[in-house]
Amino acid sequence: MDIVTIHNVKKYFGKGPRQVRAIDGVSLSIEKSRFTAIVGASGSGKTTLLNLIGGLYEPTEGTVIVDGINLSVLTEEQLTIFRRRKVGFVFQDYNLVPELTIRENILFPLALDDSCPDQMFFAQIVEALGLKEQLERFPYMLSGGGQQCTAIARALITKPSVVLADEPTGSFDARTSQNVAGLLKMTAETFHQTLIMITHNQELAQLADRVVRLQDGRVVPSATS
Amino acid sequence: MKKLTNCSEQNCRYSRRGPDILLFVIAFLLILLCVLWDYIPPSWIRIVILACGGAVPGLVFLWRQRQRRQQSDLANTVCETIDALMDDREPENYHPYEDSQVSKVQGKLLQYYDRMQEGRRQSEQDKQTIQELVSDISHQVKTPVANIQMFTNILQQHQLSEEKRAEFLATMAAQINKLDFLMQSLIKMSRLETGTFTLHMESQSLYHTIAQAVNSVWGKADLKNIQIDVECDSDTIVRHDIKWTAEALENILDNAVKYTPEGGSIRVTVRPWQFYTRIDIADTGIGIAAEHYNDIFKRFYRAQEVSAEEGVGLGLYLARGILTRQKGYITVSSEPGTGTTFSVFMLNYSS
Repeated sequence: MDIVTIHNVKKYFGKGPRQVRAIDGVSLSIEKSRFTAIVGASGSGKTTLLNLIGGLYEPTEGTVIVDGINLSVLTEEQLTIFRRRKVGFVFQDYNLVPELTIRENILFPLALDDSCPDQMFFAQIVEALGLKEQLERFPYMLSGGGQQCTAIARALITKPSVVLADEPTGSFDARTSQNVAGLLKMTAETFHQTLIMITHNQELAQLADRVVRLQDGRVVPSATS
Repeated sequence: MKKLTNCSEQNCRYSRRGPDILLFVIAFLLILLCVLWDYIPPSWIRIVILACGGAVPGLVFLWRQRQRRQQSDLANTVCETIDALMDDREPENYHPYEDSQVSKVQGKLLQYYDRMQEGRRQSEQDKQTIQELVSDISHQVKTPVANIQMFTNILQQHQLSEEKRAEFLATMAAQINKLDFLMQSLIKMSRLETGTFTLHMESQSLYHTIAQAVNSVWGKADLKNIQIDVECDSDTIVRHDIKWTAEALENILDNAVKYTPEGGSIRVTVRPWQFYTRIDIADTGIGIAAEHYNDIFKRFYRAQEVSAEEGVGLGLYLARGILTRQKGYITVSSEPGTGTTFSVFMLNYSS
């Protein structure tokens, strides 16, 4: 079953001769509980596509359907709630709150939604990501890999419909990249999460069940597998 | 039943509490009235205070009524949602992205329903996988069986020289061996596909597991004069299933031996990392084109250029399945004509 359906989506920035066609007619379906890697050169529209799926951008044309809901019919307030409940974001630069402990950072999205944490699920996530002993520490006390693991746990804690990871290992060396991407894949599989990851690293793309290649804002058809 | 009785007792207690509070409020107002009569002479002040005293319980009563109504609305919506989901239809009044309690509960219920549906879909998919398996197996078994039948017929119906007879029997024996190997692989594959294999995860030295895998391909490598070097500390401990991991590594090594020309070399390097232990198996073989990186792990995939080599195309598929079940993964990088490196990543503390 498809969790994300993108139909003939275009996203242009600016107007007139200086207009940038970031996404230029992309149609794509992403299956539930699968790991999809989006690869492409910088400027190919990877991040724009991810932001369209996450409801951060509104498409210039076309429809984006996530978990059965057409995002263009939602109001700004509804979109905020959609992002909070249905999407888990993992960014390259972690975006952790420095004043909060690792535990508080992980539970932060639930606090925003005034929801109770599922304690059992929380314990499973921190165990799987090797954060069990670090819960009362602050982000600056952890390595880059540890901080990204915290961001992964934070993305998973709300049990979202889809986890979007934008170059999650972009700032790491080869070894940490493999470690963190491996853990991201493993936790997504263990907890039946749909994972969409942007990467420019061909070796990491091999971890995915499916690779979508973007070029000049379009999907390269033959390379999908 | 006991639960029900407890419930009704509780309800009685709540309903008895209503008149109790009313009596208490009336008594409180009467006392207030007496006190006011004695200490506050102007009558209008007495009336205002009395009215306020009367208004407070009134407001409390209204507030409680409103709360009850909200609770009953929430319960009704939840019941309606469950009813709709039981009938396999979208619930009415479903507002998924509202900042309200109802929407939150509805969202969770739908998520639960979705999970259940997913299980149903999974079992349907499993059925399809089994069907595909059966068709794949019959397809694979067909050729050797047909060959054996053909040679049996020839042997039965024709007068052949002793030499020819021996040659045909040898060909038949080779086909039977192939069939045997195929059956072994198919049994492993079906156990992997249907999830009926049990992993015995133990924290053990990886060194012995690698040694076991290398041992089983040593003979073949020696015949082709291929050198195998292993770089692994004996104290590298990883939580893994020894038997199945050795099988996975053996399959990768067997593949390396098969596609490395005579006089080549294979190097196994083990590096323990923070979360994963990386095992690189690098050969000086014919290599794999980048567009086939995903294909080589598919069931029964055989590259056209290696069709002359013996094999059924299950080794790497099994290796990946075994490693994935242990929460590890496998990647490949290759330079056609120069060699291939398979990198196996095993989770250090996998449970």
